[in-house]
Amino acid sequence: MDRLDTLLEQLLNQELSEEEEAEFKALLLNSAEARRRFWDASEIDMMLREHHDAERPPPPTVAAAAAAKKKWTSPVAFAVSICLLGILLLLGWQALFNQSRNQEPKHGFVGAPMAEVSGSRDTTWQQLPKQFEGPLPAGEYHLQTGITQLHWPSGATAALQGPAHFVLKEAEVLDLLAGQAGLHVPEGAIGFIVRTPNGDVVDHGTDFGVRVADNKTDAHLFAGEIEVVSGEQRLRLSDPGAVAFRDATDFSTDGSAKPASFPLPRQERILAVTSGFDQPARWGSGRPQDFGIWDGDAAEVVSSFGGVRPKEGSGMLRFIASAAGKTSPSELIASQHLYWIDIAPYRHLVERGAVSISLACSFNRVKGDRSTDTQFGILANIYKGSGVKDAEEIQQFTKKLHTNANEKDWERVEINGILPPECTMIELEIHAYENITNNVQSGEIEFAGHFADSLEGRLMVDLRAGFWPEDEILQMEKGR
Amino acid sequence: MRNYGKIRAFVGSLVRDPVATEDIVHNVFLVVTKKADSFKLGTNFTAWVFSISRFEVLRHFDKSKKQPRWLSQELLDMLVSEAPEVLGDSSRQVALRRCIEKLSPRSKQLIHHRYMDGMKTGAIAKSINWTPQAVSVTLSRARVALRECVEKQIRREGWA
Repeated sequence: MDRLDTLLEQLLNQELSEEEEAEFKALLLNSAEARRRFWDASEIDMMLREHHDAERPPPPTVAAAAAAKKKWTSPVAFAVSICLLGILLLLGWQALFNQSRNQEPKHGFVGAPMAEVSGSRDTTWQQLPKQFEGPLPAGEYHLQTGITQLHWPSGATAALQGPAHFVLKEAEVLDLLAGQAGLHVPEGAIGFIVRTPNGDVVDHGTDFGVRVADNKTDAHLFAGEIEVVSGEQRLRLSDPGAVAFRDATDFSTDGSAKPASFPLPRQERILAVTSGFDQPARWGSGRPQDFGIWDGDAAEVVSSFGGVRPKEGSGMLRFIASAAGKTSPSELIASQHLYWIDIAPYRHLVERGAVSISLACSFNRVKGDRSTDTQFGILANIYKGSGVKDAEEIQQFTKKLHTNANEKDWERVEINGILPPECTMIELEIHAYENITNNVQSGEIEFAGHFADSLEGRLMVDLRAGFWPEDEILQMEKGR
Repeated sequence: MRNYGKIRAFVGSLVRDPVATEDIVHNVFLVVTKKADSFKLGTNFTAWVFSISRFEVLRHFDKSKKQPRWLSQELLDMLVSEAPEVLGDSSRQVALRRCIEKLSPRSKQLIHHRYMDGMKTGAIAKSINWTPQAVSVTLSRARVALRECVEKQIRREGWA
C-alpha cells in the first residue's frame, strides 16, 4: 500500500487532514496515473455505498409516516387523505401513537411518542438506525448526519440537519441543544416552542429557522410571526428578520433572514386559486390587473346547463365566448380566463429551488354534434418581477385535453413543474378552444356548453438541507 | 434513470457529501431534461452529461462555499476530462454485487461495517480489536480486489 493508497483511503473515510489534502492534491495534479487510481477507488466506493443503501432494510414506520411519504396520485386520493388527516387530528394522535406503543420498540426507546420522524435523507443517529422513520418517545437524541423531519400531533414540522442534539420531553416543544432546524407551523399549531439553552422561540403561526451554536441562538423569521423569550426579555418579530441572543442581556438583530441557511421541512401549501367556482363572479373585463381575481373573456358561473351538472359544489364556470362581449364572435380561437397567483408568501421556499407546483382543473362539455368544440387547456405562465404590471415571463407549463361527449364525465388536466428560484408570481389560464371551427355568426354564442370546475393549486416543498455559513463553521471549530 | 448511477458516481466522487450529491444529481436531471433538445445525436452523451454535472458541482461549491481544499479548479478540470466513460454503469453495479460475495469473510465484514453500518476506521478497529492501520489496509485491498473482479466480470460477460 503506497502513499497514494493511504491518502485515497483517508479521502474515502473523510479523514484527510489539511496537510494531507495538500499532499493529495499535488499527487493528483502531477500524475495521470494517480488521477486514474482516484477514479478507480472512488467509483468502487460510490458503488458500494449505492449497493448497501439499496440493501438496507426499510426503517420502521407507522401508518401516518407511510401516508406522509406517499406521493399523491390523484386529487381524490389527496382530498381523502387530507380528510383522514383531519379526522386523525381530531381524534388525537395519541391514539395512533398508542397503537405503535404496543409494537416491539426497534430503537431501544420506550414510552409514549412525543413526535414522529416522517422523513429522512441520509440520516445517521447516535442511538437510532440509519434512515430511521417512525414515532419518537421522550428522550435525548443525537442526529449525526443528514436531514430528518419531525412531525408533531398539532401539525408542526421541523427539519433538523445533522449534527444536531435535541430532547423531546414536553408536548409541542422541541428542545434544541445544538444544531439547526427549519420549522413550518400551520395556523392550528400556533404556540409551538423551540427551547434552546439561551431562551425560547415561540411560534405565532409561521415559518422560521433556529440555530444553536457557539453558545448562542439565532432565530430567523421567514414568514408569519415569532416571539423570542429569554428571562424577562421578550422580542416579537413580525417581519422577516433575524435575532441572535445569548441571554436576556445579550440580544441583537441583524435585520436579514437567511432561509437558505436552514433545512427545509417537506410540506404542501394549498394555493388561494383553489376554487369550485361556486360563487357568482364578474367576468368579461379582460386580463385581471391584480392578484386573487378571476377575469378574462365572457363567462359565467352556472349551477346546471344543457344537462351538465357541476363536478362538485353548487357551481361551475361556463365558457361563453372568445372575446369579452358575450355575443361578439371573434377571430380568436380560445375563451381564456386568468388568475394571478402571488408567490411572495412562498419566496423563502421557492428561492431554494425546492418547490414544485401542481395546478389541475376538470373540464366537461355538452354532447353537441360534429361541430361542437372539444378541446380545453390549462397554462401556468411563470413570471418574475415586483407586480403584475412589470412582470417578465420566464417559463410556461401547459397541457391540453380533448374531451369526450359524455356529459357525466368530468375530465381532469394537471400540470406540474419545478418553479424557477426567481419566480415571484404565476398567471394561471384556463381555456376552452374553438378547435372544430369558428363558425358562429354575429349574435350567436360561440361555445354551446363548455365548463370548468374543481380547480386545485398546490405547492409541494421537498426536504432540503441548509448550509452553515462559513464563518460560523469556523467559529464552531474554534470553540471545540 | 438509466444514467442515475453514472451521474451519482461522478458527482459523489467529487463532492463526497451524500446529501449534497443527491441535490446536485437532482439538478443535473432537471438540466438534462430541459436541455435535451440541444443534445446533438451522434455526439458523446456521457461527456455531455458529465459537462452538465461539472457545472452543477461548481455551482454547488460556489453556493455552499464548501469546495474541498484538495480539489482546485485546475484539478477538477483534469479529473472531469479523464473521468472513465463507464463510471458507475449499471452493468458494473450488477458485477459488483457478485464480486462482494467472493470477498473473504474478514474483508466482507469490514466492508459491511464501513458501508452498511457507516462506521469510521477507528470505530471498526475498536469493534474488532484491530489497529486502525490494519483496518485501512484491509479495506483498501478489498476495494482493489473488488475493482479487479468487476473488470473481470465485465470482460467475461462481454459487457465491455
